[in-house]
Amino acid sequence: MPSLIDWYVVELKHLLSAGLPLDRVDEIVRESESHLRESVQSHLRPGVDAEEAARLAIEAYGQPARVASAFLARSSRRMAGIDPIWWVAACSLLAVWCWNFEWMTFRGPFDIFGESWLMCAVLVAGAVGLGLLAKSVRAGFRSYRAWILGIGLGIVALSRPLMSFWMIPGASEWQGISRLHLSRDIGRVEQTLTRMGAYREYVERGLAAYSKAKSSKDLPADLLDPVTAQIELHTQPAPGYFGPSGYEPVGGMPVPSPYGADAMVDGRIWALNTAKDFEAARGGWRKNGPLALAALPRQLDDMALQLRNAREAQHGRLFFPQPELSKEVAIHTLELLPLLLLIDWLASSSVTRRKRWARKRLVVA
Amino acid sequence: MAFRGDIKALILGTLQGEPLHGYEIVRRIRETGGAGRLSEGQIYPYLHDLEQEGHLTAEWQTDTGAAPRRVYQLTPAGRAELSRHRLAWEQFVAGVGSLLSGNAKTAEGGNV
Repeated sequence: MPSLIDWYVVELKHLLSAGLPLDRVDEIVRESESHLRESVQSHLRPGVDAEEAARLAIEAYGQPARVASAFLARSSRRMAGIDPIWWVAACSLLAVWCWNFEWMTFRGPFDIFGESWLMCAVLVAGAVGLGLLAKSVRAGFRSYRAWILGIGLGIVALSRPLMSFWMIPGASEWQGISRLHLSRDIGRVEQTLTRMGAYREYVERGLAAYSKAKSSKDLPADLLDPVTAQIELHTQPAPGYFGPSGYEPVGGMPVPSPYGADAMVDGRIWALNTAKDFEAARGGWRKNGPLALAALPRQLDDMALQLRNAREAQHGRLFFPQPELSKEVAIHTLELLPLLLLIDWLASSSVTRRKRWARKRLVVA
Repeated sequence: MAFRGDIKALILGTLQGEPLHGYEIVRRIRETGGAGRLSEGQIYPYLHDLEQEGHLTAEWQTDTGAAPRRVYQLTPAGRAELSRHRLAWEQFVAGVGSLLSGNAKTAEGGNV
């Protein structure tokens, strides 16, 4: 029948295995066993049997969880040579950044730029960050909830200066330019403005042409063929229409969108619908043309403001307050915080649970 | 009672006379009361720290007929470290001693 010391050794080994290399665990366990057996001998005297002596020896040596914690806390707190606290901080920041990717970079879950590979990369980075967070909490053998809470709330508090420095917005709160891409994106915004200007001329020309045309033969090629118009105006995507069999990307005639031009800071604009035939197209132009012309000046002004802000940033202006943007970052960070704290709790309590379980088993023994 | 931070100094001091195994080191430190609230098992990590820092060497002694024991011995670096601890301790004792004796004189002289 195993003695109390045997049980102790098993539990200590089990606990130490959570964070130390096997050879080191063996060394510690062997030394502890040597100490305990010597201690038992010293406690043996008339009136004190072997079991009582073993109990006294264990009492003096310390419960396995306590001894294991002393070794673990001093021996294996580093991950890749770095204290877990730095891993926890870095992983929390990475998770917050990934979660706020849309708002911190204007590119993200709603995929306004259509770069799904980028979102996949962010998803993977975020998942790796959360996994590493759990691992680093376990490596530290304690909860880092105060740190995580501090980092989260710190970002919330700093979201306004942070975002007004990092993102250069226009009038819209859902797109802008990150400070990192200023020189690249200023050229793209200029391109967007040029395309919006060309589109305005196209709509004016189209309205004039349709007011005189008796049939499709009186129209120029870019008013007849949507693909020609799309290529000439660089609109996105290929214009189409919703017919009886669903969306039909080719065929029909180009008609302006009633919403003017949905323009992106990366140079793309969405501005064309289609109609099935000449009569439908003429009706579409009469209805949508004036609406598009009415919407375009404000849209051009918004994009011009974006360009002006970007140039000011390039010339040294530091902050561009956009309350909506910082509010989104603050809200998203607060949404993520419970998940980070849950991971911390699960990871840290999984170590603690093992310790408690071990202690119970020892008492039973 | 010593502070917990002195455990390493106590270990080095215990080993200055002769190599000792872990049980004996711990027993002697416990006798001084220098371990404070640390249990015996919690002293071992300090021993291992000192070994990793190069202040001690350790090897298993299996040829004595008794149960195997891990015996620790001071290295030259460990002796230098012990000297440093001793100097720091002497300075501490001298500083506190002079302060206490100075206070005593003030009280005796009635110079308030």
